This record gives sequence, structure tokens and C-alpha cells, in this order.
Amino acid sequence: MSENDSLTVVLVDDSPSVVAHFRGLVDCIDGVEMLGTATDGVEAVVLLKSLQPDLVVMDIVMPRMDGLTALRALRAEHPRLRVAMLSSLAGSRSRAEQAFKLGAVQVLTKPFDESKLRALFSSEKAHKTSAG
Amino acid sequence: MGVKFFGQFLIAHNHVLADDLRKALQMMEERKKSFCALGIEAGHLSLEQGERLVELEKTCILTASQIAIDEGMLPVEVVEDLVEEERKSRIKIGEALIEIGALKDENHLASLLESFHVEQAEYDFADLNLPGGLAGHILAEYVADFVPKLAEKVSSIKLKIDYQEPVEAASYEVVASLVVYGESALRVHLSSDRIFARDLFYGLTACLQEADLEALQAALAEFLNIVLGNAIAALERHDITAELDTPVLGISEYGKEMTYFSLASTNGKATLGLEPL
Repeated sequence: MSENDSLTVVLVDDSPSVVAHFRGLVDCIDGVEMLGTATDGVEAVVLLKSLQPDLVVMDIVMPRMDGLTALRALRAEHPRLRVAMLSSLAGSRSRAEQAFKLGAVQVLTKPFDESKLRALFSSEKAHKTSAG
Repeated sequence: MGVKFFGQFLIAHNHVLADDLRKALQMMEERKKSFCALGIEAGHLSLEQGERLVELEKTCILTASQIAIDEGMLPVEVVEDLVEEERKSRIKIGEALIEIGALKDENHLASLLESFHVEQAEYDFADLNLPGGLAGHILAEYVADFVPKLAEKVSSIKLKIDYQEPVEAASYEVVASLVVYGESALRVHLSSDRIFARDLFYGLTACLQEADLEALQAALAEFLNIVLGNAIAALERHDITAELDTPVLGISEYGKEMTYFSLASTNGKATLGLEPL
């Protein structure tokens, strides 16, 4: 698969264990490339000024700027940005509904595993292909 | 894995698209009438009273209906009627999805709801009869119920908690705590030896590399985050809202209000502390 066909991803999460797990899983999945990580919403907004990933995967509860606030900010600045929320709070109806309303493409509950990420990446790759 | 709400379940199993859900949520929002709007519409409240109620609602934890009674704006019977009208104006996500054509019909919805409840059955409320000040604390009960279930899911650690026999605070090396604010406020403290924390770390990161104390504490914190996030989501099914704080690492002991329970595990030693706030 050429580099252009890869799905490029940025992870936003303050937990080092989540970052390690996510990175480890991404390394095992063909056609997905980690472009970078941010530890909170503020860092994410700054990082996304210089990176243009196909997908941002973001936690909800984070210091300084939470994920829903960051989602609103990121979508305002990059309206076509694809963002999936990945959080222990994702099963909370109020948060999940808010995330979808703000434009999240998926809302996944922690703990997460390889099958969940594979399904997410697969649908995002399909979207990338169909969007040209 | 974990607590889901129905819309999320439908997307996860490819029954509907995120765009369908968004449309359905928008429809629900548009159809929903607030207590104040209904009160004004029915002539029970003046426009000024309605606006005042909205403002008051923003500044306290009471609902507009409760404030209307407390402030003497409306008699209880009228408030009850308006609350019922407000409830009727709310359509459920499944109904909205049928209306926009994302789900076929009531039968389709019913079968999906059944599958959803089967998948979520393990996160149904368990009455654990916690001792002392924790008795009847619904979030504490969820936490105590979820800790063993999620430890096994995350790291295959099998553990049991003796809820009826609190223990003295144990001074284990690896510690993390997390606070939940809101109607069912709670501080949760997890303290363990390096063996327990290491196995949790391996499960959370799917990685067998050595971890230093900071990484082990972060793993405990992430585990608490998973437990409490799922517990808060489950709490919403009882119409109780709560907010999750970010974790605190390294504080080994809290005050007398914290009740500690020993975690019996084959993977090292740990205690769980619960303190209603």
C-alpha cells in the first residue's frame, strides 16, 4: 500500500497507557499511520495547525481543555476534519449525543481493543476512498 | 466492552450511520418543549416569569419545575401537568430513527432493543449493600460492582472485593485516585503493589515492557478512569448526572471518611478506597 493510501491518525489523550496501547495497536494494523499525539485539547488545537490527519481520535476527559470543547474548536477551524471520540465516558448518553451533534464520526467506549480500532479505521478508510 | 447508550450500540453494530443518529438527535431536540415554554404557551407563566425561571435554572441544581414551586410561581398540580406535557414532547431515539427511515419499524426497534439489553446486562445495577456511609450510595455501588468486571476485561485479572469487611488503609507503593463531582459525588482511591499494577499496565497497554513507578501509577489512574466513566454512564440511566475529574497520582491515604476494601487477587495486592463527598 502506498503512503497516500494510508489512513493518517492523531491521538489526543492524557493517559500514557492509552497512548502506548493505541500506538502498539496501530503499529500492528496495515495502512494506518500515527502522525502525532497530543495530551489535551489545547495541544490538539495547536498540533492540528501543522498536521492534516485523516482522523483524530480524542478522549473526552482531559486537563486544560476537555475533548468536547476541543471537538467544537477543531471542527470550527477544520470543518471537514474527521474526529472519533474514545472515552470511558462515551457510554454516557449526554456526552455521546453531544459529541455526535458536534460532528464526531464515532464515539467509542473505553476499554477499547484491536477489533474496535480496526472497525473504526476500516470505515474511515472507506470514507477516505469514497471522498477521493 | 463497557457501558453504551442505545444510539452508540446501533452505530457500533452498523444498524445506523452516524449521520442518521445526528439527524434523529436534531429531530428530538426540535420536538422537545421546555417546561418554561409550555408554561408560557398554556398561559400559566408570563414571558418575564419564564425568562426568570430559565435564568434561575442556570444558576442552581434545581429544575425549572422545582423552582416554580419553591418560588410560588405555580401550584403543584399545574407543575405536574406541565412536567407530564414536557415528558410527552420528548421522543426517544428509536422513535426518531424510525421516523427518519433509518430503522424499519417498531418490530425492528424492539429486536434491536432486546439485543442491546442483552449486551448491556452485565452493567445493570447490582445492589451490593455497602457498609456505613456508603450504604445506598449508588455510584459507590456501581464502582464496587464494575472494578472486578473491568479488571478482568482489561487485564484478565480476577479479583474479589470483600464489601462487608472494610480494612485499614494499606500503604502500597502504587496509588492513584479520582473524584466524581455531582449528585452522587465520590472519591475513589486505588492502591496496589507493583505486581498488581504491572499486570494492569500490561493489560491496558498490551505491552510487556518494564514500567517505572510513574507509568504504573498512570495505569492505575487509567483503570479508575475506565471504571468511573462507565459507572457515570450507567448512573445516567437513573437520571443522575456526574462529572469526572482528572486523576491524582501518589497520594497514599485520605481521611477517616474513606472506607478501604481489600482486593483479593492472584495478581498481587491492592485496596480500593471509597469516600462519599
